[in-house]
Amino acid sequence: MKKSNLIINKRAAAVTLGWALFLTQSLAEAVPHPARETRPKINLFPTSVVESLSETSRAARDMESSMYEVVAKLDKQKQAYESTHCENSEDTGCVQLRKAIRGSYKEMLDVMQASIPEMRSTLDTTANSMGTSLRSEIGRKMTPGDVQRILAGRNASSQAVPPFNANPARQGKLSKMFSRYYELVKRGGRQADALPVLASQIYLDSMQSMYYLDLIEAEIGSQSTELVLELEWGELTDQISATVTEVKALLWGETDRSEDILEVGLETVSQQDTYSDLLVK
Amino acid sequence: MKLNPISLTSRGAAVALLVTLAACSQQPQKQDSHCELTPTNNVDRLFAEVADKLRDRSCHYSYPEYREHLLSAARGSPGAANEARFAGLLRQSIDQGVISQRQGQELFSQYFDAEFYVVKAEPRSNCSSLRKKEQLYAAMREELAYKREGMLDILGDENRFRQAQQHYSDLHQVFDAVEVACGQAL
Repeated sequence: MKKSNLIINKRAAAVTLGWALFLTQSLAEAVPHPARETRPKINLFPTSVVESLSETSRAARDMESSMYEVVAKLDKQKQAYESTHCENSEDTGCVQLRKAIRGSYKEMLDVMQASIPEMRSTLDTTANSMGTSLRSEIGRKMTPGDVQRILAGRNASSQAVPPFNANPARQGKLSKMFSRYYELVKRGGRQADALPVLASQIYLDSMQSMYYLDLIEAEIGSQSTELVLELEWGELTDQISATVTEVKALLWGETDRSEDILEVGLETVSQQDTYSDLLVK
Repeated sequence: MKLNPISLTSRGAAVALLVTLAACSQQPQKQDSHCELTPTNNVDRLFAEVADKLRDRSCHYSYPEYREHLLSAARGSPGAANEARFAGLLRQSIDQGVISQRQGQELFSQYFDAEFYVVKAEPRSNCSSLRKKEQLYAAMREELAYKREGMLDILGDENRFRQAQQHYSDLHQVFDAVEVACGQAL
């Protein structure tokens, strides 16, 4: 008798529990959920990436500041050399001017050579952390369709992005580019849809900058050696002029395209609810 | 006048053969003409006629030709209304089993969706699928050409085509970076 009571009690408990679960589930379904986020969530900019971007921006600014004076001096000397028609002249003044230019050029190479390791190191950190983020968050966790879905949802968020106030102080191309990246990433939460594009730009620009820094460093190394050995370079100023132009282009840019970054990924996309049955989600 | 029995037999056989040949050649002609579209520049009339023809199962084989006719007619009369015309016909085609739901979505997306169907259809992760990035890019370029036709030539919707172009360039940018990042791990 006791055993049968126990079985009945167990059954009653099971039925009660079943009903309780059913009711809980029904209530949970009945409660209106806030608009569910269907798009995949990603974290492309962990703190380490933001910090390394800030460091890269600072290192680029430092390098540009230290380069600015010596490049300006070289420019003046070059103008004087050209205006006095010193080319191919063995006049004492011209020879001295050539020596002065060589000295300034050597100074510029030394400054660059001293700055490049830190610059490359911070770029390397940025590229590595950005690459790890892209690989793990987009490369492995997502399909191409997921990326497209994220980019397609940019409409609402782009309106919340305040216009970027350019710093009126002089900034070189590299530092300007990375400080803009840093600013964009800092307020990135609001424009999450454009973040994969931004992350991709930062990554590719970091890789490309590293490539050019390596090329410049190699070039500087060979030219410094030649200067130290005081080898004859023929018309020295041509080579100096070309290198200075390249360095200026790298640091400050002939045409500054950093403004373009702000436009990337911020276009509006309208919904086509009318044809939802004919569109793949 | 006597008739040669051999010649009579052979004449009879020849006539029978001709009749048979004529019958054979007329049968498909009858089907073709039945499914053929009346030449017209009126887009609404053409869509209505195609919808009507597709109710006949024997005309389902003409579906690719109908599509080309409709695209051509719509190009000659661009406007936003063409989207609803194509959508309506595709829905009817799906309902009648002329094409599958997936084929309908593919067709509609290729021409009128700013997003890329070929990108949505890729089931593997980015690291895996981007190993064949050039193939994906080629398919995207091809789809962009369809979108140009659909959005610019048929709908006259420049903004939507610009969105498609923006998608194209954004996706390229992200895929290029992700491909490099995935390669760095190897």
